[in-house]
Amino acid sequence: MEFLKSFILGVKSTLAVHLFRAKVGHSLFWVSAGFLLLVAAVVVSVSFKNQWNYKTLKPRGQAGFNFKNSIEMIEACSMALGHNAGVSAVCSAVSGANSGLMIQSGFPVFTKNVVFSVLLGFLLPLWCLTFAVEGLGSEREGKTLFWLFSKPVPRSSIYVGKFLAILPWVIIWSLGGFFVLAVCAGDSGIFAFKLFWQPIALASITYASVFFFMGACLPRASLIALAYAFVVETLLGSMPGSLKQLSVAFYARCIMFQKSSDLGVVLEQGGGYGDFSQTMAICFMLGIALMFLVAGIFFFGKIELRGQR
Amino acid sequence: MIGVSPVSTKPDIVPLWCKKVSKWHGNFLGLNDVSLELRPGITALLGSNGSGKSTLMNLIAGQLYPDTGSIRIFGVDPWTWRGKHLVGYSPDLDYFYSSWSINDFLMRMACLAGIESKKVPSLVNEILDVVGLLSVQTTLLRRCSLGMRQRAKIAHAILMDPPLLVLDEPFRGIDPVGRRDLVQLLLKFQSSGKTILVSSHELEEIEKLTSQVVMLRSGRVVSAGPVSRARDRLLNKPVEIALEIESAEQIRFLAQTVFNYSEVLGVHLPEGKAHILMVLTRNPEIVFSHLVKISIENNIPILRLEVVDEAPAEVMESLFQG
Repeated sequence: MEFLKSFILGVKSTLAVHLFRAKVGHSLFWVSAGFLLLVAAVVVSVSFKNQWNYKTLKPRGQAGFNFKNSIEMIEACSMALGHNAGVSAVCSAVSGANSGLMIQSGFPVFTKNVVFSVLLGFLLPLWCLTFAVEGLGSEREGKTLFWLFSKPVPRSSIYVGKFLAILPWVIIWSLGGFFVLAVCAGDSGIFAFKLFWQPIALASITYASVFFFMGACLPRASLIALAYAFVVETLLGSMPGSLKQLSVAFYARCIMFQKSSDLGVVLEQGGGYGDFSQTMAICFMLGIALMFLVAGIFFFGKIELRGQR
Repeated sequence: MIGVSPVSTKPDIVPLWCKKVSKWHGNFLGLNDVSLELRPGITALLGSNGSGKSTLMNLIAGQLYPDTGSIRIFGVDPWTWRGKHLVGYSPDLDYFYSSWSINDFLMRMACLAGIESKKVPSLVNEILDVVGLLSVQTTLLRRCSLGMRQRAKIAHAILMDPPLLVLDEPFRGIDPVGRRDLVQLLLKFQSSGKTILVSSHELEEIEKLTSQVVMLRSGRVVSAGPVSRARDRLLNKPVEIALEIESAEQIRFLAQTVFNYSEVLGVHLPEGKAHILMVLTRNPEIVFSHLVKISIENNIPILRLEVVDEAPAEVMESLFQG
């Protein structure tokens, strides 16, 4: 009971001191802000050219013609077969339906090309590690951990308090970045944001736990976190087969895949994203977050301040 | 009974109890089978660089965990959060949250220590007054002199009013007037019944504080006894004073003037630091008064004044060879 009281006191006081005091001027922050601006500029450029549709994309696995060319071919066939009213009507109906779909396809195109690949595979891990690694990593690097360790509260409470203090920054930065990209993409993007903000927020919390653990317990945490982000999340996460299940992004994609499937939009065939239900994916992500939180509490409690002088 | 004694009593009734404590730093044995028991009062911890003073203090403060043996503060393991209630530690590290002011630092440390928020401002003001930092409390830590940062560390150590104070090199960087004040402060703590373990190379100050000395060499306690023997060996140790002056012209004038005094053994300008003048003396208090006089008479503002007094390792070595 005494421990619990002290734990709560420790979490409260650490939170009170460190909440809204995240370091924003460090190099990783500017790198992640720079990438946000770069991707936003590309999204604005695509929006400006009105290219969030299948007009300029090619059907999967086909070289040469794009979707627009295919429809033009159908229309040409329809004109060529003009003497047969039945065939012409069918061709016109098919090409009209395809054209309508093509024009209205901004949401799947934006989701597949920006949210699924760039945001989840690259930007989100980078944004999350920006604040999460710095949480206790900056204390380690700056050799100021002593000031925390000398306090009469359990170390686990310092770890949890610091984690809760960086969490709003991670979530705000991640959702804020997603929102900026969504706004830049117009109506399709805003629709995607409304539909997917929850899995993105959940993935941010999971990433925060993983990267916060690295910052607190590993030396050169920024480099290790960057290596993890690119190797596991970007490369492994985009691999075919079951290897991608090792990445956090996979489970976020599962939720997004099913949310869009509910609307009748199949985002990616054969990716294995339909194998996990939304509930399972949420449980996996929360499980990973909890596992790293517990591991962090354990290892953080063992840290000795060697070489702090 | 005041001071240090061999381990005999039960650990839960003495302020500090160490039994057969050893600590490895990789392949290096930092502390070797140390047994110690401290009673209320001031005890000095002496030893050359690398003798294990800071390791022992870090163990007592619960920042390191002993590989063998055990340490208790009033029967409580200092590694645990309960133990942190009982010990105030001023380490020999100089890393701070540089963008915070002294006041911010202490306020936040008090908050982290779980002190009731409405009591924090008055407590911090009181402690700042005690350590003589009240008038400079808004100064950013990165702009503070070494002496000011030392005081901030001491303020941090006494924040929770713990019964045991562990002070690692508290006199380092503090000017003679500040040292006198610190000695008075520590004596006041002693009279209030606290147990204080203080390490220092400044035997003059140590002698003013206590006659109880624990000497460490190569991680072992070699003796515990009076400080007078050690004082004799270090009496002639010169001290270096660093001055920061605005213009190079004024530095040259000050160097020439101050060098004429017999108490000054030498002056020099460190390479790459155009505004710093180093003055070597065996009698810093008299040289301080000369400097103040020259500064006022010639209108030369002294921006910073610090005693750079890291005792040479060889002096301490000779002390422990005797």
